[in-house]
Amino acid sequence: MSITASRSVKISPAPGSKRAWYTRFNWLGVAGLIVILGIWEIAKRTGLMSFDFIPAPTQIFAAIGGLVQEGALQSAVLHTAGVALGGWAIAVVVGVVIGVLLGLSRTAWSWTAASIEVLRSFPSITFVPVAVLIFGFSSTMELVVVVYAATWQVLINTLEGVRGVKPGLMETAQTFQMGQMRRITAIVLPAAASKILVGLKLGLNLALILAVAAEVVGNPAGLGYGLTVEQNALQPARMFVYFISVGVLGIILNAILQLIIQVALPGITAAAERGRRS
Amino acid sequence: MQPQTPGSTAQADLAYSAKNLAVEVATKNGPKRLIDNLDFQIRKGEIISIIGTSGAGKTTLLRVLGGLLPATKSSEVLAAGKPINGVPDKVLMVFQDYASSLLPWRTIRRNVALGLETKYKGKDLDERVNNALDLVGLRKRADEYPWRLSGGMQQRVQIARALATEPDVLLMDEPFGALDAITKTSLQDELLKVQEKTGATIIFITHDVEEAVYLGDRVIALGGIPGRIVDVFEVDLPRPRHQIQTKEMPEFLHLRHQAYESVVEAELALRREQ
Repeated sequence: MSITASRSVKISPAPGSKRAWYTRFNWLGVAGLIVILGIWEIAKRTGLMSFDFIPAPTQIFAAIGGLVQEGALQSAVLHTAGVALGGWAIAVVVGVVIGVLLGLSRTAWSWTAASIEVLRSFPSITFVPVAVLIFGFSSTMELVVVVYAATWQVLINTLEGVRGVKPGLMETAQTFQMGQMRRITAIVLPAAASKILVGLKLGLNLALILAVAAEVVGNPAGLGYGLTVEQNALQPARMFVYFISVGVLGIILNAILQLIIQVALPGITAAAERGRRS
Repeated sequence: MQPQTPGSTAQADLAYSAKNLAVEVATKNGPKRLIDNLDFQIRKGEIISIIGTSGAGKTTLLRVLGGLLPATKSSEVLAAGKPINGVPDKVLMVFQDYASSLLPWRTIRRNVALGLETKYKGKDLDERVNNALDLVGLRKRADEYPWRLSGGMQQRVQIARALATEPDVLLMDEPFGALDAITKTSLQDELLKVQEKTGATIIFITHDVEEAVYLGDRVIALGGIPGRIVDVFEVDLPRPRHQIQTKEMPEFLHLRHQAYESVVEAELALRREQ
């Protein structure tokens, strides 16, 4: 924690501040990906790779056109993205509120600690069949599963963040005579923010995973359902389109969240940046 | 020596008055007394230095005065004439550990605004923040994050943040304890200047006897476990004080000698008891 006088004035610009986007972009990574696809294509065409149900990349690209024309891909993406994001949004509110409450109130924590420790150790995916039994093959089931899984991530990380707020900051809140609400908004939430953001990111990833899992197992809609339908129809190229769409959707959702965080919370981003450096 | 303020000061002129001030905390082996039977009065606008052996309850005393820790029921502690119940109005603590009491996600300007932003908005807020930053000479750095600044500057930010609310009392717990000697002396002089301008009462804990005499109107020495007042020294040195001239005055040297002696004696007494 020592901060000396010599380290005061100029510090290299924060990442992503002034460099042009094309120098920040990882072109080599893209090149690597293209090489892999090329090898895949060649291996398939020369018969080096003899799995019948692995299509060549070109066949997958061709299948995209068909699925888009039918409108199946768009509606599947919209459904899965909608449930994942909607469920995640609910999870963020519930998880942060309960996390802050449990983090600040010793009584609330004593009553719930044991239940939380037990429940959090279940992999969320084990609840999918249970949810199917309770809510049927429906989007409600999918949403419940997504909310449940994402809430844990947000809640646990918020709780840890709140409990990790330095006593010095709490005493600062005290000496400035802050009320409970202001203490939470001005001190606790920002101080716990980097942890909460970790929970938000993990929660979003898990929301997508569970949405797809619920679609595979139970809800007849979305990318997961498309995946199983094409699998049963022995249409590997079309199946791979759904498969890849899930990955791309995950990347896009993450990127959007990252962007929102950087723009909306510059102080938190800067403080987190400093945490990584020291 | 009787630790009483000389003369009869009217209650209205007192920032604090304490009779029989004691603090107890619960431990596994029953209640433990941290400080015991303190009697003192602190006038408004006075600078009080508190020195003493470790464990004598300096920080405990300051936390009681700041309303962060309750005294025992038999204690009679008044802040500006009113019994202390929670943080008293217009009383602010300045903590030694500036790094963990400044908000790292806020710029310096917004750190200084912390105590103001619920009352003031817009231009009014900016002006008050700027004034506070001017007092400690940090206006140019206002839009940086505190952790980009040196330790001395960060402590100035904390002081500015306290001053911005125009407090009547500043309670400072070894505020310069973690700083190098040069930064420390310059901050001492800044603090004295600010006090002259604002007329705030300052109660200041330090382990540096020289600093205690240099800054204070009075030096209160605590000692023993539980802590009691072992000595009170009146510092009749002229103000404004000067780092070199003041520190070469015979009275200064004499007081410093006495204060050292008091702390050393208390330390020896403590060891004999153990």
